[in-house]
Amino acid sequence: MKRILKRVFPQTIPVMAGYISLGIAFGLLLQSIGYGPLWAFLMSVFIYAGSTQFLAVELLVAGGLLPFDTTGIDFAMTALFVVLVVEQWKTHRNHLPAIAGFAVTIAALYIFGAERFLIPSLIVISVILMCMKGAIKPEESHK
Amino acid sequence: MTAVTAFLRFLPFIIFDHGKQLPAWITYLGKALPPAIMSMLLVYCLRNTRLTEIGRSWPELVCVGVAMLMHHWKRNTLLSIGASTFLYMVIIQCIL
Repeated sequence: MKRILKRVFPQTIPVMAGYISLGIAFGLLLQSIGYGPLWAFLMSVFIYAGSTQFLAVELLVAGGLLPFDTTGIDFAMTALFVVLVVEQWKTHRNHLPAIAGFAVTIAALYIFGAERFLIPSLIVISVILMCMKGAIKPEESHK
Repeated sequence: MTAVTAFLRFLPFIIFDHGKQLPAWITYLGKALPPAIMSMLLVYCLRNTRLTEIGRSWPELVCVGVAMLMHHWKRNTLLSIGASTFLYMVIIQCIL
């Protein structure tokens, strides 16, 4: 168990760093509408659903007070994925999966619309990646 | 919701034997899927950003560019996210 943790933990650091900033944003957002640290902690443990938590905040906003204007703080999530994309681009030498991801999702956005393009994108991406299995050799897909 | 999420996250540890080599297609997807999914989720975050209405969508585009450049330059996650989000908030609240 300890050996596995030792090997796996370093790989999770980039994601963890992203989640820490997202967590800070979430805490600030909750504080800004008058819910304290205990709420932030409990919501993070029990809702445990990433971006859905930010939606829950919007539901709570109904009866809130605002010490400072948090408009635009939700950009933290977009910024997180920008960072993750750059991070993936730098660690993988083969950029075909990333390019396929962009191409398929943008196409699906135009075909299915902003409300229902995620699931079709996910399916098509998985199929394409499985078809490209021969084209991307494991040793060249990683630095 | 909590139970389902937790179950799905622990599932891989239940069905795969620790010591054994994983099936080849799983290791392949483990390498090829993350870049594709991150790209997908970035597009998802920007799904309501209209490239044709540049007058309204420029703050997102500028700040995505800033986050990209900052991360390419310093590779510091907190800095990239913090700086671009701060810039976005300033633009949205003070300029627009």
